[in-house]
Amino acid sequence: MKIYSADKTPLNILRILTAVITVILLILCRLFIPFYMLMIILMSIFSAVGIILIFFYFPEMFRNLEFYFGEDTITKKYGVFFKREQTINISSVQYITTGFCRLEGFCFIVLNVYGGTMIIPFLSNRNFRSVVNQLEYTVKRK
Amino acid sequence: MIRLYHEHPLKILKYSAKNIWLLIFPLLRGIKAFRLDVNRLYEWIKGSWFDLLIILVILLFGYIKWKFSLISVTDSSIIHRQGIIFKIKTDIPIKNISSVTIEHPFHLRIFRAVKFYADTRSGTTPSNDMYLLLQHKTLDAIMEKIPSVSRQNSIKYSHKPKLYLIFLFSALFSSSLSGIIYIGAFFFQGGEIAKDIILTSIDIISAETSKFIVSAVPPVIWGIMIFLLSTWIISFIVNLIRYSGFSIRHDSDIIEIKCGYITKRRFNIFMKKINYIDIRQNVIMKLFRVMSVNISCSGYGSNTKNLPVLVPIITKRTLNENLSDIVHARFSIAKQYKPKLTSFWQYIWISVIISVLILPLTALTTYFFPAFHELAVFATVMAEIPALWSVIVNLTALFTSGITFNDGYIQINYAKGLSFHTAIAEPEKVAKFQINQSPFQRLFKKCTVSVYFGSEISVRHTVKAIPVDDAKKILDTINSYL
Repeated sequence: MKIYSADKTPLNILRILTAVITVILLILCRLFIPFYMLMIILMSIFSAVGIILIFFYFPEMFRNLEFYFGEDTITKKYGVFFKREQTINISSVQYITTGFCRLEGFCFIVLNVYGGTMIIPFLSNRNFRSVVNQLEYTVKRK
Repeated sequence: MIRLYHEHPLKILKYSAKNIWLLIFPLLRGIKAFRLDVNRLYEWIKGSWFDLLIILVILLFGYIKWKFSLISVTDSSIIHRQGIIFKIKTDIPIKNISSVTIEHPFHLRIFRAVKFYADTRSGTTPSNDMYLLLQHKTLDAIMEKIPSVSRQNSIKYSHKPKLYLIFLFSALFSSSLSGIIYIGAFFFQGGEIAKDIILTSIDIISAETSKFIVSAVPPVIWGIMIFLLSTWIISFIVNLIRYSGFSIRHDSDIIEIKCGYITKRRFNIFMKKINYIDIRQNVIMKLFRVMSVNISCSGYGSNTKNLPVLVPIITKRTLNENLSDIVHARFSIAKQYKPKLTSFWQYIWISVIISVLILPLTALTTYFFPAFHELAVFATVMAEIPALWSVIVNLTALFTSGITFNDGYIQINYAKGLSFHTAIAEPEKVAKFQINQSPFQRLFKKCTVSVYFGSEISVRHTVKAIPVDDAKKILDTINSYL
């Protein structure tokens, strides 16, 4: 069984993006909300959400994201507040969609299986190529 | 060397931003202001150059997106790559395709454009897995790789229903509700103008009918009746157009269905990927021993455009003679597991209570709002007809419902709404089996059995008042096939 975990490069990009969005929201609040109390409440909420996302949620999300590739099954373990485990049978994969590989770590694979989908996000380019090759071989020849 | 194809150039318009239409009005304003005068031309360009530039940029963006949308076909799969910076690749293995739809809409025929849809059994929503707008030559290249009828095997059955059968089918499966939906779509897409036209038409209908029809029935009731009739006629015409020219043929692997004269549609359905067969009948069809055969297969009839019809109208005898290798229905055999006749109340109680409750509701309405007496009486009559009809249907269902295992297939006979269904599939395709027991059922050792077959849309096939012991036997039999 091969075990893959999420590439950490997107984590920093997501953190920077969240920080930028939070600062923009704070500036907009300061400029456009005429009521002082409402402005303070909203600015506090945005700051708190930003800090939680940057320092707790995203790191925890990346830490808990793991993929187990077995002979017949693929298992995805994920979740921050609620831990989840999703397993699919490789033989039920009908087709795959891949993309976003221009940026390191942003590669994703969508496994379209009988009765649902499983998304495998944030793989490094090397892991992505290895997984896709294995899946394409299995899905087309099974 | 794998050849790469582009989609039809018309797709550039679709790829261009949706709000391109917002720029049409400033552009029209600009065109209106344009005069054949050198000085005016300069002023016109000066005034609208920015609008024109934005249109050009939007179109250029659409063109680049189209240029980067590439299709390739190999012996084993259809691949669609799209995206400029962030590339997305969809690779559908041909052996996993459950159905392929080719659509020739009337307005696209002059551009020689064809809509192509491919569907697999994946997903939980009835959306298409691949949708492409193609040129004929690209479609030919794709279809060369996709198995189709008569290429490998000889045709086993070919059938084109007569026009009167399509008329009958359209009439039986048309409803005021779907007519209202079409009008709703017209409202939604046509905006205020459509709204005005429809509302004015209803007013005119109400006013004009009151002139001609001398009776105690108020004009508003005539208006409603004519409105409902009109929506039914719209639904009937839409169905007639959609299913005109319907034909079916199949070999041992593929079913090919063609229909429609205005929008020509062709479906290639892979028989092994059919989830289950659904034979539908209403009371009238049951009396005349005819039925409509439907199938559940990803991509066929799963959107709102089409019903998943295999044969619009067919008699039992013809079905058994010609389609027995697809539809494994057995009509004359006794049902293995069925409700007892003493359970009749479980079948009819909802319909009976509804039909009884309508009367005091009318009395209450008349008491509190005497001005609406005539309208309330009319509403009562209109509501009582389907309610009593439902009592008849459910009472008939008591005699016809049941579950049977036969030749390696499970056959479930039941009634839903005002129609009768016979669902047939291999027991291996049962995705969920559910036994429900109400306190009353527990008292009489009965239960309601619900069977779900694996499909994109979860459909429940329910038989009420089955003895609990029988339900366990059904489950054991299903398990023995797995």
